[in-house]
Amino acid sequence: MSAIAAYRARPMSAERLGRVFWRGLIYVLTVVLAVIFTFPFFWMVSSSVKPPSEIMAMPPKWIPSTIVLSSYVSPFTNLPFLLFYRNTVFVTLMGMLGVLLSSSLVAFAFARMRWPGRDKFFILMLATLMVPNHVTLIPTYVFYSKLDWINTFLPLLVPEWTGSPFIIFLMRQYMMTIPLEMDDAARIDGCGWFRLYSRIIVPLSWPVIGVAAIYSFTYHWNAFERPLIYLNRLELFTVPLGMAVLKSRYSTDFGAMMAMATVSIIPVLIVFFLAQRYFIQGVVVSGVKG
Amino acid sequence: MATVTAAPATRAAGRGLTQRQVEAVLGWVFALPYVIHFLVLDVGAILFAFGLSFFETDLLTGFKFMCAPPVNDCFDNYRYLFTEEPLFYKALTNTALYTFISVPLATTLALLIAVLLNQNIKGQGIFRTLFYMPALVTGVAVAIVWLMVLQPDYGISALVFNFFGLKSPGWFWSEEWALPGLMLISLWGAGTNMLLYLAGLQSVPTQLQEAARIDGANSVRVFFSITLPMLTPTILFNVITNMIASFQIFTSSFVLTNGGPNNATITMVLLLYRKAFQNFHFGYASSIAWVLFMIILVLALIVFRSSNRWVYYEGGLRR
Amino acid sequence: MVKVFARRRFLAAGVGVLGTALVAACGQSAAPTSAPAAAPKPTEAPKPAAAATTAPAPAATTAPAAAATTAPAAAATAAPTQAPAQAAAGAPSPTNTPRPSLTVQGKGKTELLWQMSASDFWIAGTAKVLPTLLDKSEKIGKVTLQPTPDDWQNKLVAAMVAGNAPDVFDMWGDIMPPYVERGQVVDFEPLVKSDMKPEDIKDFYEWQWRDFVMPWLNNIRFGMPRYVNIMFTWYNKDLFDKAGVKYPTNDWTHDDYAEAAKKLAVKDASGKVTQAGLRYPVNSWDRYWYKPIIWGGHTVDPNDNTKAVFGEEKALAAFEWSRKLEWDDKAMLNPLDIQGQDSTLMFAAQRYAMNEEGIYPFEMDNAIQGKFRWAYAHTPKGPTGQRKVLGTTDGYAIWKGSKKQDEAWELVKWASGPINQLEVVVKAAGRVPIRKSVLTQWKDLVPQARPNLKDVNLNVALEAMEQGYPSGREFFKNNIAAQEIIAPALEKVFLTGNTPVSYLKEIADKVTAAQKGGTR
Repeated sequence: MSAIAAYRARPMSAERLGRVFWRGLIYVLTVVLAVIFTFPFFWMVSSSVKPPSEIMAMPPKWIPSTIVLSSYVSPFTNLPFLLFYRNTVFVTLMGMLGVLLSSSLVAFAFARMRWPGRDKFFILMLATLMVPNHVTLIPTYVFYSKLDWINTFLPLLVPEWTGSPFIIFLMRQYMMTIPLEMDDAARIDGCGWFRLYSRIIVPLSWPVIGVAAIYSFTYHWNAFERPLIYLNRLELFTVPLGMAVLKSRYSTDFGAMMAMATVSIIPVLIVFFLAQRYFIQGVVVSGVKG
Repeated sequence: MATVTAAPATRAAGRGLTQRQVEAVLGWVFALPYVIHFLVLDVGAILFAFGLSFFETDLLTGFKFMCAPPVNDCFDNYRYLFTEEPLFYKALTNTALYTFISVPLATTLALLIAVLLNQNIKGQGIFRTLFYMPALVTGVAVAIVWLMVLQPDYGISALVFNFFGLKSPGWFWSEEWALPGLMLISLWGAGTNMLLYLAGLQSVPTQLQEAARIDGANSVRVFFSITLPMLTPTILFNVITNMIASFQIFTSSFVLTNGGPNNATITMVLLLYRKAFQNFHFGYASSIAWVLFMIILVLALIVFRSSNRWVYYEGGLRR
Repeated sequence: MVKVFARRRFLAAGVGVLGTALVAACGQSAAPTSAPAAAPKPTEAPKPAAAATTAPAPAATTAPAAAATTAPAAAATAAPTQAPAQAAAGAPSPTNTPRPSLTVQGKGKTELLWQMSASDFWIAGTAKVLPTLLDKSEKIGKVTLQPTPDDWQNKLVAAMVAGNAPDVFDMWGDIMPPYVERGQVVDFEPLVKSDMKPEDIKDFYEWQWRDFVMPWLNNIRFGMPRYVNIMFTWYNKDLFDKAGVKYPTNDWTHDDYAEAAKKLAVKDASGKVTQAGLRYPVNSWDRYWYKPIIWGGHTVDPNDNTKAVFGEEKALAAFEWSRKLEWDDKAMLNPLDIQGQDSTLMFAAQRYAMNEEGIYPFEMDNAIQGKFRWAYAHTPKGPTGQRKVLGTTDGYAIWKGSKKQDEAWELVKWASGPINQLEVVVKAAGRVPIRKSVLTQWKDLVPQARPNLKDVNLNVALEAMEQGYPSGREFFKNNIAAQEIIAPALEKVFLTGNTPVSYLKEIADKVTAAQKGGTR
């Protein structure tokens, strides 16, 4: 707004007027879209502090008449939600770490190296994404249960530590935008392939690693299907599973569900807010820009 | 496994193979994590699922091989799907419509938001966070809010349309508008893709843009002739992955409409899911999966083939 | 212990990978040529303990050799040494946290897995009461409760195929046929005959006991009752008073019902319904089939379960009653307006004045919190003067593949026995117990626990049981094939509107045709 005010102070040329108009348009558009995008979140938070009789009111009551905080307390007394949070944090961080380490390496091989069968294998990798999960669910379950991995975090983490096709594809696309001269220069300096990967390509791919980290984090944080199938014991439950236990066939503790969802989202939002600056703007990608 | 293959490779390098040979071996070594993933975790399950399409089975009480009597037709499941399944063409049309409309729209919207948020505006970080938020909000809240928003009599949709003197579409309360309703909701997930474009925009060399500006190009021109081409690898990724995901749309139709009203939002995977987990026809469900798989694969290959005409890799791919 | 190791192994992996990556980085490594070979190994995940042990090593040259010799076998031995790293990484260490006690220890040797689709309070209550069984039982050693959310059936099927399904799990009328047809549940009939006294069996409600056996499914008794849910009409007394409508009485007919709903519906200036008179789960066949019956018809031909008869005149009249109330009179809620939501919370939000639904007083009190006066009434009689509603056959079943069927039977018997019924079903959950001997206590204990529930007429449950008018649903021979045709048709009539109920005539014919087989 101050920028606009500054412009106002001076007599406006047609060009300036145009610019003010564009800036105004950008702000209006951004704000309108932001409101639409945050709507369900807003409803979720407001439902978590509403008296139960207002949750399903129509027309919707966006602002509760009184603030009720019991939804934030009761789940912790009936279920070990603290443990669920710790499990979720563990699975999320380990899954994220694994997928970043393995996928960046594989993506590097796909994007920067020449090896026989590379392109065919790449298509094969993408093809695995095209098989609907529902048909592989049972054979995969049987496989993991033969390994005695049911009721462990292994079925959730091993596929990450061996590289996820989605993330590999994502990283490959980005790595391919880095000029090839970088590689040649490094190789002439005597840098081996692994050093090229770890010292040159990974630092230059920082923005996409950030995106991959956030994707992976979000995926594991919200994951429901796979934890549901592979985790039976309460002490292994993650937050989404715990939330689902608040729902039974005939009734749902909506307030508690929304409260737990809010509690699980807010830290992520803070992390995202801090992280996005770091990988989107903070890093000077000198190699590319210079 | 890893150690056995890796160790000789390093030694061989010491013995003086050509650079290309070393690269060829190391390429596989670097890709090894995923090779293991593919061979150990994926291939078995996928082949099993493929084979299943030639059986009639509930997986619990036995398998009936279609190639043997009494059926004597290996492709009986496929035959039934194409000729007798009452919902096949409906599911296929719905899925294709959903994909072909929502993928371009969502891609454009995500790009638009990314460009907006790449401007030097106040509260940039907060806006980025807000736009990413939909990815974090869980299923139940989303379903309820959308049903409230789109309720054609007293939802927000009614307010907006009435404001312009129009009648709100019936959305999930009508057969014609239910599928567009699902498309609308898919746009709401654009924040996830936005993030990708924001990262992609970081790799666009600023001095190129500046040089163009000095040469007198306006912002729109700079965007279309410099920024956009540099983003094409990201766009390719986005189009391919969104297409794969859209063809497999399941959750939103399962939760919001369960395929209704009157099968207006039935999709391929929802049909497959019902046949597998409600009707226990796992063999038949598997044949649906393979038909879907082939469709996606062909389309993905077409997009890939076309990509060397419109995707620009600064780095290129070494051949 | 397996679980603990799994976690530790992962931590070891993480630490190891980080360590190797740092050491192997360009410029620090003494022998850069070997570094690439070292890298992929740690990412191989589940068995990377070898890499972890070498992590502190100063030179990367040692990594490949060490990794090559140790491999997976070393993982188990290496893992415990990584315990300090675990604390450092801030990961959950199961040994330090008090475990939630969903595993209850007994005297015997056998361990049972009991999968339960229930809310938190129900599961916690069960864990608390289980010692009353386990302290006595000679055979059962340990019972592990596995809470499972709503979508648990896929998981159950996968586990059945893999051969590790839980010994005991939920089973109820609506979902039971595919499992029973495929012989996945133990037939309780012989066990009941040999192991239960006749006076014990008489303590169950006759209709519910009867409906756990399906003659068309080889007379298999598929479960032992867990609790019972019965459809009643809940009504908001405040809204009745406001509209000047008299409270429902026992001789209410469906005409009175519709009249009341019309008077109770509130419309705004533009004619939009802001508060419905009645909400009824019209599009749920499981909740609907009894309306055609009280109109004198049927949904399934009682003599031939491959014949759909809901297209006949009397049944259609029942459908027309609902359709008219919803679309012509605008007095009944559109079923989609409640999709994914909660009918109790919507009743609490006064979105409708009456709701024809099950009986769960505690949940209703949680939602309403005494904000208005309400009560249960019997769902009105039909035009034939008959009263009938759905009474559920919610039960526990034993997996046919279980190797501990004797012990599981002991557990299931206990679950439907008086102690569990009183302590968990009544006291913890407030639900209607499945034993006559406990039912009267339910009526007294519920208002004692929740004073708001003093005047809600809990008597309806007792009367319904006395009269025995609830019953399990009617089934088609191939119920799933029928369902696939019926559900979209009901949506056409009740969700989108503009379709006369006569449409259901052709649907009934389609259902009959589909019963001949051949559909997938």
